[in-house]
Amino acid sequence: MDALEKLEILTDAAKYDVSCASSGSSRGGKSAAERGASMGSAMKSGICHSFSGDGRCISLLKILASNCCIYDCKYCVNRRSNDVPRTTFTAREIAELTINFYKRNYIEGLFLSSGVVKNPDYTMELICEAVRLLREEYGFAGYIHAKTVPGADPLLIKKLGLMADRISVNIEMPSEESLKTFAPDKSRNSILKPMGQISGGIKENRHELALYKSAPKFAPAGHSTQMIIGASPETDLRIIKLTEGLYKKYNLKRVYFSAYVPVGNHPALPHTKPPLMREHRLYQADWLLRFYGFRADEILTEENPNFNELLDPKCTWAINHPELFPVEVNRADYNMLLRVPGVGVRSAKRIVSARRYGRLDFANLKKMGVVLKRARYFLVCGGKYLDGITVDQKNIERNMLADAAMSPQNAKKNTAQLSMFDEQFVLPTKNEVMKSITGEL
Amino acid sequence: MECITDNNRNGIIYTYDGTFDGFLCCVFRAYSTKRFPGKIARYGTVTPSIFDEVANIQTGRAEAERVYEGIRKNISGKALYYAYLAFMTEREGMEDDIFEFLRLGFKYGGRVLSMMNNDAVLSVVKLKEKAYREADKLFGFLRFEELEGGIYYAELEPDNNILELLAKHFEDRFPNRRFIICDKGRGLSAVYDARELTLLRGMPENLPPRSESEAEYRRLWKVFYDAVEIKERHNPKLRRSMMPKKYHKYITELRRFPD
Repeated sequence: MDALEKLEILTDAAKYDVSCASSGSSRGGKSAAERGASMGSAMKSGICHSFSGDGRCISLLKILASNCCIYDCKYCVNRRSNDVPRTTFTAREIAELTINFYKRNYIEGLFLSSGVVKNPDYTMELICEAVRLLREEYGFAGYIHAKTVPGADPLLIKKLGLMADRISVNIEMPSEESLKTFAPDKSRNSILKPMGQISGGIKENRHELALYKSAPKFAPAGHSTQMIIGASPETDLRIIKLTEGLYKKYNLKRVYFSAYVPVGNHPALPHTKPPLMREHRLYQADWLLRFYGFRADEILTEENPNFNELLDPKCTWAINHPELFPVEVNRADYNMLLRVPGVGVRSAKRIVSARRYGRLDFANLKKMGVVLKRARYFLVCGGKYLDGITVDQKNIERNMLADAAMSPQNAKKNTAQLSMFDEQFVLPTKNEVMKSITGEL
Repeated sequence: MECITDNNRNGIIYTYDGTFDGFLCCVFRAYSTKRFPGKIARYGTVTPSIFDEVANIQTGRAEAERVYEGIRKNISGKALYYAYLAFMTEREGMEDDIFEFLRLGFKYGGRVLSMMNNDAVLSVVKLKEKAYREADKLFGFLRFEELEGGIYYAELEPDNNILELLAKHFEDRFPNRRFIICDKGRGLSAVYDARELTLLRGMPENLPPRSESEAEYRRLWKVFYDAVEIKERHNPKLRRSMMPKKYHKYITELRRFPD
């Protein structure tokens, strides 16, 4: 099998893993003489190098070391019982591809995962060897994200963590029952144990680094996980509660959601289109958890355990809490401003810093990037709504739904295709919105 | 050409050579003569009315250097960076906003950066973001080709004058590699010889041919690019908004090659 064919098979097999972030590490900035033969750097904020035909960011060379898998996870395209061509890279082939793509600035680094060849340890050793070659022999200082294989020896995880920027283990399914149904070879414990080890390793390492600057770094870009949504019956509330728990307990950098693409054969699996709008709403909620100070049980409740297709989670929350609005721009504290639909992290910061130098009006807000289309129902400047309109709290929802219905995306009755212009209000920037949709940051 | 009217009728107009150093020399002149300009513009881009006085400012390295230091010391390094990036947008009228931004900075110090309710400050902040946003995109979209002899060559046509910023990023990334990056629109080249980075006017001539392995890796990359798409999520509109068409010409995976 030639290199082209191998690359095609092992890319095709890897593409359903949505994580593609190259952020969180910072390296470089030394002179050529100091750095010797090394090549590469990592930017704190990550870099997108390209976008594939589905609009998702390509930052890393995302491939499997092998798609020969001994497991039979029902939702996975690489399951043992699936009839697809199989192949395995050598560690050298992986390193050569990475370095040559990197030199041409095609990529920011490598994202290496793998099917389980022979057994978990054997697979982890293959991954470790490819990463070792890159770091030691090729002097590669670019970004590396490697997956750990559930059930592998903790020593191998440790070894990998000392070479890669980010290591991660996928939680796969939003609940233990679903994991049992669809991934009979994996157990909750085999996933959470390495996740706990990585989280503990990172914590311990940050402590060491505080004491000794030259201590070796363990997964400096942190760790992440992903779950497949829409394959199993969990509610959105259950998913964001799990997400919140994962952030708290394991200090994850990101939890990724991957809309299930029908590639499985289990009778309980759906054969519908990937639920892109649901995935999008989950990312919006994820943003609210991480940057906007929301708790999961504020975003959704037992009575309303699923997201509204038409309104984003922040608007929904605001409409359900009329007692907190309207908010006075010139007085409200930062945390309250963040909770106003149409105000993002960036504009909230701008408001807080600008109002020290004078009172703000709606014209100022507009220039600062507040989306008045939504914010006008919830904000007052000097006690007045925009254009002196009076807002009846009861009508807000109807008005906002009307706005949403008139937006191009719904006019076309095509909610599954995301519009790129309409969603910026809840998230920091348009760029980041797209990164969130594409599962990247 | 534009006509200068009302708002700076009684002011002096400073004209300069279009470089950042030249602009800083205008700032130098304003403060050393205590005459603040009603407008700052490139040579030959303004038609003064009969009431206007025009001063052509010569660019001097020493004066510019003093303003650099002055901004760093009396405002902040961050403010200098903002002014520099905002300048690189080459947006019409940006000189006046940057001048006003610096004037406020010399008066209030580093906190000028948080005075977002001032139009000039907000404009500088936004321009800076605009220039940086493009640079950030091009850190990713720029593509090197390997030429014989181990030289890496890239071309692009950015909206903003960000060649220096780009070249510095790649100098940091590939400290031991010789590369040339060309801004074809502006006719500028950044040349790095694995020791020093130089910015030049003009395009390189007599480049060596592409290396032997170049076509092979280009094909491999194209295979990867096509295979990584999830076809069930095909969304060309989203791709176009993330990777605008104007950049496609220089992006390997979107270009057509004869072989």
